[in-house]
Amino acid sequence: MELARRVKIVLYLGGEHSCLRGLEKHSMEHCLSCPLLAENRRAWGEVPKVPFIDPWLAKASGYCLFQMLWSKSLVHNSIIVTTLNALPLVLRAVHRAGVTKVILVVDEYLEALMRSRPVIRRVSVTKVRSRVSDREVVGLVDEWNRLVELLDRELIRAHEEILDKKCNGSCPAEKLVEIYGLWKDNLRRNQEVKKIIGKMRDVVEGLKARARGLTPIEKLYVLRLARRLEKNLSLTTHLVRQPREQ
Amino acid sequence: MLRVINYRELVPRYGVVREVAEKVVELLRFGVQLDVLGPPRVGKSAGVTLGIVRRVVEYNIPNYTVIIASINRRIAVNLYRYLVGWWKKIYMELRRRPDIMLWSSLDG
Repeated sequence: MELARRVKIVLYLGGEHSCLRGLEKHSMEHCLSCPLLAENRRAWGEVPKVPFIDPWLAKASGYCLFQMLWSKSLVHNSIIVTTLNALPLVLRAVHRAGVTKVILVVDEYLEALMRSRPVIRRVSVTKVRSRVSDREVVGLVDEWNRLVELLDRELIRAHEEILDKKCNGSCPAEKLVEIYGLWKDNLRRNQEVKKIIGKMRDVVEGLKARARGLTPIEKLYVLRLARRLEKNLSLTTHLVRQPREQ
Repeated sequence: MLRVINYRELVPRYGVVREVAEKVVELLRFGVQLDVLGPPRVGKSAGVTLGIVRRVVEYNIPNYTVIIASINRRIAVNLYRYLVGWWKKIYMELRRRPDIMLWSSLDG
């Protein structure tokens, strides 16, 4: 059939949805030592000539969708629906197949941007106390939590001000893009936020300095914590944590 | 009991879907980024998927790949369902009138 040759639709979800053994988390060793791969290597290279391929259909017919993804005939002339987590894998398969005309559609793009943004979060004091028995480290973590609350309050106030100024309390659809742009810039503009971020940097430096005097295991934990906090701080974009509705 | 389903009843705002699809067919070129923005549940995703299938079939593009990435599995499965529906719609139209390849005349 002409249309089936020209357009074929593939759903790739990854994880246990495409594994015949039902493994949720894969590593390369799992797939290389898979007993089914040795038996069916040749069969999985040839994609059946059907217009729709979904994980459940492929599993029921005894195909591993992960292995099928490397065959050229699956990637050529097809529409592949995936999740953002599996996107690097699919892009690599497309690159390997040598396709030059690629259309990339990202659904719910703004939501994806908001989710992929690192957020400055509170650190659980009880978790730190169970790992490190140093009073100064716990004090620094308490200070960090206090600063996070302060930052949240400040950001919410600033955003409410922007919303009031820009669109009088309500938010029409055409203003959405502009507001998202402003949210990206909030730290560079606001002086109060800059001051709080400076204090947070001091806390991270204090954690690093304190870590040198601890036992090796505690030192590793505190250094890892400090690195994580610093990584979140080095970005200029932050998400306002909305108060949860009861 | 066999019931004939009219897909225009299932998609209440089919007008928006058709509009978005026509824009996508018209504007999509290689090296161009299109942004579709609107209120929820008016048919943005449906329009974009229909537009891409139509663009690929109508312009007879050889050796292509379309990757549709969504934020979670549930939405990915929904988009797959949309695409299967559009594929079936185009297939039925082609079977009825195999000589016609002008898609703008099909929707009316």
